[in-house]
Amino acid sequence: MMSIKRLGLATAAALFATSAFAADDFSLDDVPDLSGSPALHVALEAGGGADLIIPFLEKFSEATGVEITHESMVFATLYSKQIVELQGGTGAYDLVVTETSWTNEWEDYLAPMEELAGKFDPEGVEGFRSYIAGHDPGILRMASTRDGTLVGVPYYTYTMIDIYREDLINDPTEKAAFQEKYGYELAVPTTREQLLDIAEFFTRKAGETLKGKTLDKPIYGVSLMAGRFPHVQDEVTALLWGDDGRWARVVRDDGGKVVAFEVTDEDMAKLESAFTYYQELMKFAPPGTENAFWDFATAQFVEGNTALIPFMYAPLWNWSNDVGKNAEGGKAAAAPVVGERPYTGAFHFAPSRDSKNPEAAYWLLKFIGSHATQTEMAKTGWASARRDALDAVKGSEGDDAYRNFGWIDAVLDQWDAQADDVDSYLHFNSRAFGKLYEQMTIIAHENATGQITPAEAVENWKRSLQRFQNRFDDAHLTR
Amino acid sequence: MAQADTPISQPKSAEKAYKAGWLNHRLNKDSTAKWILIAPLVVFLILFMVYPTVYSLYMSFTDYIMRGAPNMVGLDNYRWLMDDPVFWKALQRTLFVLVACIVIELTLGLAIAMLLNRDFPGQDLVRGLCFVPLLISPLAMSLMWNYMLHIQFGVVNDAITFFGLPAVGFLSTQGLAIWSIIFISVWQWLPFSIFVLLAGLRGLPRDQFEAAQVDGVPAWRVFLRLQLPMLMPLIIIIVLLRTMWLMRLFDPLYGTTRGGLDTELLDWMIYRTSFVEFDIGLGTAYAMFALYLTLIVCLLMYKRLMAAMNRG
Repeated sequence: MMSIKRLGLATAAALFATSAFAADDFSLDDVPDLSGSPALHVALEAGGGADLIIPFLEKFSEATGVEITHESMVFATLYSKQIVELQGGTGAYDLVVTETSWTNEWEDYLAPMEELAGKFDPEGVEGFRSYIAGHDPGILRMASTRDGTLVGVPYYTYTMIDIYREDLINDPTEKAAFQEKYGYELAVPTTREQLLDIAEFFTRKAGETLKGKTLDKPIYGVSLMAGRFPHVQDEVTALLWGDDGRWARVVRDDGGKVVAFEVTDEDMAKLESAFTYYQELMKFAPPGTENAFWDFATAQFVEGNTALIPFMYAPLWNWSNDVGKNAEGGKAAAAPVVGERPYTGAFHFAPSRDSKNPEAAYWLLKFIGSHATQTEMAKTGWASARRDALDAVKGSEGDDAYRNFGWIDAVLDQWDAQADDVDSYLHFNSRAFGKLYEQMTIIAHENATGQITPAEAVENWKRSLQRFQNRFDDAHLTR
Repeated sequence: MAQADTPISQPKSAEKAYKAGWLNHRLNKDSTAKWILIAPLVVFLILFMVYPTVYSLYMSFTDYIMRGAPNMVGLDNYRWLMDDPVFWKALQRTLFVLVACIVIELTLGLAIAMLLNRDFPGQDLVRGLCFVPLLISPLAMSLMWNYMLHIQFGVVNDAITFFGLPAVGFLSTQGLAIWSIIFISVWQWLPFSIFVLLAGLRGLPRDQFEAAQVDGVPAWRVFLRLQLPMLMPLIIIIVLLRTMWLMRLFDPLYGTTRGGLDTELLDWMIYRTSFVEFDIGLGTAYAMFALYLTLIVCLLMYKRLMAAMNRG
């Protein structure tokens, strides 16, 4: 019997192949008459580029007559606030914002897309499949439950990339000095060892020189996000996945159904190595990193205080380009992260099962995730999660082209590299992941700040996994 | 008809008069009137205080995870709590923060209250400004201090480095972060102590102080033997209220460390367990433990308060 994994990949590949021939041509004209139907209430992640979605909600509202209200919340409260409403069956949100790693946990509260398509879409399930084909198969897998049911449409990716100072990496003086010190050419790091060398190399005190000029303030090798926020977990995960390690292995039965999880000695050794490496990197991060999240980490880079951000969400690329305003000759560039397996995923809108207007919710979702809408958003630098929209804009020219689209190749390369792996990540298979994510955050933060050793971090992780996985998921930890 | 009605209406009006009399009698009784007056409050308290507390107590004996029905697990959650080092560390930190905040607030509060108790030009403006921190939303305040205390981008460190001193990682240094949380809490609540004590100082009887002055008693002795004992009921009230509030200290963490760098306090842990991990059974067990502890401390304080007031 074909396993779910192989079936999923085959379907995804087929869908992806279709997309090469036919991008979806969905427009608001395709939406049936919804006038007089109940208003929609939509959850949004507050701040940054996420607010760019609001004009599109208004556009849908104007075209269909369906009133839309929205509620923005910061990421830290997004999970707690929404799940209380979903579990309580309050119907507070017609569309919820779902981080891909929450998909399995929220499965019971979300309406499968194909079920809605069958009910409300004249083009039916087949039409919907054709519509969705322009999305990346890996991202679609993340927006699906572990048995392959798609429960949302991705609209905004936060795949991590390496953002670095191209002017520093390519500077002849620095290249020569690096070559002399480390015995190989200074270039964009592709291995952990290179990254560590570069981080050490560019960590300099005020009064030393950089690009042949005397520094009036210190510079540090790397921006990191070691505060007790979810991001420190994302960084450690990128290191672990890049080493082909897993937080836990997914065990499936012959039919492809997830039946258990297990931790292996090999994986735990890799996890300990990732924790150890992170502590090493911390030596070359600026003061304040111990309480930093993406905001401060990017600000350090933009201010010219760091040479690179080895793991940063793609939507922060745009802001990172301001480095030229603060550092003479400063130019940002993007590359895949070390190991090419970054923390990845996308926010997707998902229709809640207790929506008072599932039909309008379905059409709004289809509008937001459509090729036309996503392309329009991507033109403004929006980190679209739709692959054909990214393909459509990445070759664009113009004054802001680099600033808006300079990150795209790095993300697409990583999506390709990671496509076969996503199905095996704990993040996209555990129904306890919202809770595990918090545990990972605490452990990774305590390790980063030296409160615990890497070995203790691994032990803490095993205990937490045992407790939460067995309590909140019917697929238990067996080893 | 009117004639025929008369004999029947007589007993009716007598009954009415009797009832009115009974009602008046009951209403005129002190105890009845009191109950009628406090009835809305009692209903309110039962609905919004007693019921949730009893329900929380019940939940603390279950394994409820906001999925399915709660199952009784006896004392399992309390057993877990007893063996949980993270919980005891959070409790230890909370008590440390509690003692540090109260000591600092009382010491500084009394000193500033004594300064403000003198007449000086612009006194109304100064007193008004002292009040401002209390008016700021605690959450906004924690976010504000997060930026102001930042080691590289904060104005506090701008000022420190302006004088040639090294920048300080207030919220990013292990050991210092907890003091920064204490500072934020003190900054917001110091005015409360100042104004309660200032009101107390204003209300002290003058004759005893004048007598002490005539007798040439040194100022420190006047303070220790007269002012401090007279202010004791107010000091106990401050300690009582701040103990209750500090056991629930949450906001300064929200915008700053979020429990990182060894700053996780009991209330943050309760929040995390109940509303991030959704382990409602365990979360309510933590909360009930905190409630028992607060009740015990506050009852002891209350006894001291009553004793101090009786002495006064």
